[in-house]
Amino acid sequence: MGQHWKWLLTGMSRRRFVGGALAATLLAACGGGESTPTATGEGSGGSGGETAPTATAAAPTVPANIDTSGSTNGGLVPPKAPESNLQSTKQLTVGMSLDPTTLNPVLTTTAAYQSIYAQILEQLVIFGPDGGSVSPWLAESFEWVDDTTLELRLRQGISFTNGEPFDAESVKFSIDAFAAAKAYAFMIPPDVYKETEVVDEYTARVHLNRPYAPFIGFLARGGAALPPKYYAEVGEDAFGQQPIGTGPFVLAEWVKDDHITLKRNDDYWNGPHPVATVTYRVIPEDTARLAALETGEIDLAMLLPVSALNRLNASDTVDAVTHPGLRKFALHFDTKTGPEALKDKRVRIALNLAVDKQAIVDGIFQGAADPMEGQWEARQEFGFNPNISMFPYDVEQAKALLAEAGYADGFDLQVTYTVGRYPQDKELGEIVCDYIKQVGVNVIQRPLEYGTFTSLRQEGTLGSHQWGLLLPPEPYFNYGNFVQGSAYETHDLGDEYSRLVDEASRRTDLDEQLALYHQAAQIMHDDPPMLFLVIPQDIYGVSKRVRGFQPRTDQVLWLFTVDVD
Amino acid sequence: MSALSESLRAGREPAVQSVWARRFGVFWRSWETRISTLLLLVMIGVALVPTSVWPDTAFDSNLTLRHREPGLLMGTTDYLFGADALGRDVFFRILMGTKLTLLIAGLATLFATIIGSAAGLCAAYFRGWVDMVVSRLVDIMLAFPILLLVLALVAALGQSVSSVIIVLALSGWAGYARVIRSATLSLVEREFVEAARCTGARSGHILLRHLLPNVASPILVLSTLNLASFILTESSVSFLGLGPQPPAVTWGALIGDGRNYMYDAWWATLFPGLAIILTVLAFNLVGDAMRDAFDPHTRQ
Repeated sequence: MGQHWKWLLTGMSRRRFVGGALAATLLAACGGGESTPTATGEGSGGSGGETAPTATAAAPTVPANIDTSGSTNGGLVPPKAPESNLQSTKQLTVGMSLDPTTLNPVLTTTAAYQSIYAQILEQLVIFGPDGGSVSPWLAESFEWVDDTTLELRLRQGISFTNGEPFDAESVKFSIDAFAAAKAYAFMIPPDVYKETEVVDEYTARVHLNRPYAPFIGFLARGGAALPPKYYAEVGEDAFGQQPIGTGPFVLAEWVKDDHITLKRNDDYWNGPHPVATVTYRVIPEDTARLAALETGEIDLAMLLPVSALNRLNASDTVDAVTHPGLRKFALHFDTKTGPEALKDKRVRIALNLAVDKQAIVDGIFQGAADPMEGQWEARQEFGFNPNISMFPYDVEQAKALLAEAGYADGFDLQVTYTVGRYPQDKELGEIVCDYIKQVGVNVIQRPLEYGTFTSLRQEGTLGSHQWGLLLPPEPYFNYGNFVQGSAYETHDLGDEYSRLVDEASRRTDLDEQLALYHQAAQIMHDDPPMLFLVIPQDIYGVSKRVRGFQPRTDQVLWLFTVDVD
Repeated sequence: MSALSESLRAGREPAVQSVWARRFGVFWRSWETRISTLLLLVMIGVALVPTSVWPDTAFDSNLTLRHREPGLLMGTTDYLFGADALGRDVFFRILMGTKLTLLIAGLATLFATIIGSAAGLCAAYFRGWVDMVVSRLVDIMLAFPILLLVLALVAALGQSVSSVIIVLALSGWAGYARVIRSATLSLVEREFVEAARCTGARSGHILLRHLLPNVASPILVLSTLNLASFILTESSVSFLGLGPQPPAVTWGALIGDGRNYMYDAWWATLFPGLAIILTVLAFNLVGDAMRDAFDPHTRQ
């Protein structure tokens, strides 16, 4: 194993750093390219706690080969790798559940696809592994010059693997492409982006039409560096079949529905990667992927079902690694067409008290999940309000609140939930309905297959529904979904909520942003538009020969720090 | 001969009595059939028990009892077949599931029988274009992979008990039509049909009063065998998650739910599976015995 990766294993004094995500982002924003973690401190709020890949009660403790340093600040980029890596012929095999349709990041936001092209195409800026902060990558630093101008200073001396230089011109080309892309339309409204100005060879300035702070989040999610000449020459579809970037690997072979092979980029700007070949094998069935892992056919498998935990824990060759996820399961109350009772917030609070989230986490998810903390944001996300806590499980209080609201004898509530779309969604639906029934509400279960579920959602006839929503870890993409008139709004949180969120999206100062989001979270807690349930953790199966694996909250596989024995 | 003389002495009409007696004798002679019949009677009895009788442990989830081991293994009688992923009693859920499983298979068989028999009788009796249309439809249906058809139809009609019944009936009638058609073909030229026609009987009368009773035995045998295959198909559909949805319970759905945890809690899958195997086997054995009983070549 190359010593250079040690930095990541030992770095950061292993400080948990969630509340401090704010400071980290600030630090990054203030241009600390490879900034050392001096200002990290212990984080500001009491929100600290478990952010790094946590091994849960059922899972083993995190093995030594797994990076637990957790959130990293501005200095995500490891020190340069030694040339001696060129001698290595090491191979790494990854099991995938599906074959990508394209490897062009402009056309897709699917994390499973990005898990492949992320090794080929590099980001200008990138979410830290915990999702709590945005760090520089190909851009050495980024800074808001004013409310509508973002300056990116680029790393120098980097070129694409076809020889094109990585410079401000290529950054302009890339940002233009992403800002116009349909796949990213939900992150960046059409009236936001104006243009990118090439200041000099290694400085680009993004100009916006109006203040829009989530632009950073958008860049961290999309915003890979594209080679302008090659991209323009072959077009977006062909680029998706044969992408070229600045990354540590290049695409060598792609056999549809079978495997994708990446070869090391010997001239990588940060030194050659210790692994010579990475192969992605497509194994759709979960159990087959698990078996391949056990027999050593593959070294790494992503997004395994909870039922895999016991098997992995019993294995001598494979470790189970869990990492806080972002798919948030909640029962969204429809107060617009739903029963009259739901209009009373005491009823909605009562329902939040009626469900034992911890028992669901321990029972159904075998510990590999986190209860939602009485708010939409997950603990590790920037925008989480540490002063709000989980609705406790309190049947008596729930019944009392229902009685107070005049529903001591309960009311009819239809609950629609997805079946077969997400792991454990059917069980989750059944158990939540059972809990609600126990406080006297007459629940009518309506489990739906996802196709029907989506079409009813589009028709607007879904009613109160339970499902798992996965949104990028940028607060505006989360809070913004519940403002008046937005896509996921099922309950009117009022003008003040919409105003706060809109205001936050205009503040480039992260402190100000956070204060506004905290207020919005409080409104959402006091007048809950949903029954906050659980956030399942992502489960990875990792061979014991793999070193330095760092799971990421955005579910993107990131092999920059990985080595194999 | 003794049966005949006995009934003669009793002054009853001899033929009918002796035929049914002989048939029952053939039917009841093997111990497999007797056990199967008893088992099916018990199943039907269980299915008739009102849902409210089952204990709460069958409905109410209790996460502290998740995947509790079967009482069978631990020598206790509570949670005899263990608990499922939500801590519900598998034994009582299987008993509860009997009702819907048998109801779906039974009603679907009834409808398939009615549609298939009517089509078969009409095709053989009227011949011409009616026969043409029915036969081609039957060919199409029989050439189609049944499960695929069922899945497509359920997806189109939506998931509910009634849609599963409709779909099963639609997929199962063709088998009847073919058998009944050929059975009827050999009858329509017979003298009693001729005679009925000559006396001016209308087609409907001939079909229902003269032809139907004569094909009753293949219908009965087919229905019994069909019930078994419908139970299997319904289980497959429920297993794939397209059957009746919670809180409704069928055996196939129980297997589908348990499948994810086969590694940790095999009992949630094994016991519903055994229930299906035993019931299907029993229906098949009873069907076979009935076929033998109705076959004039079988001797007592």
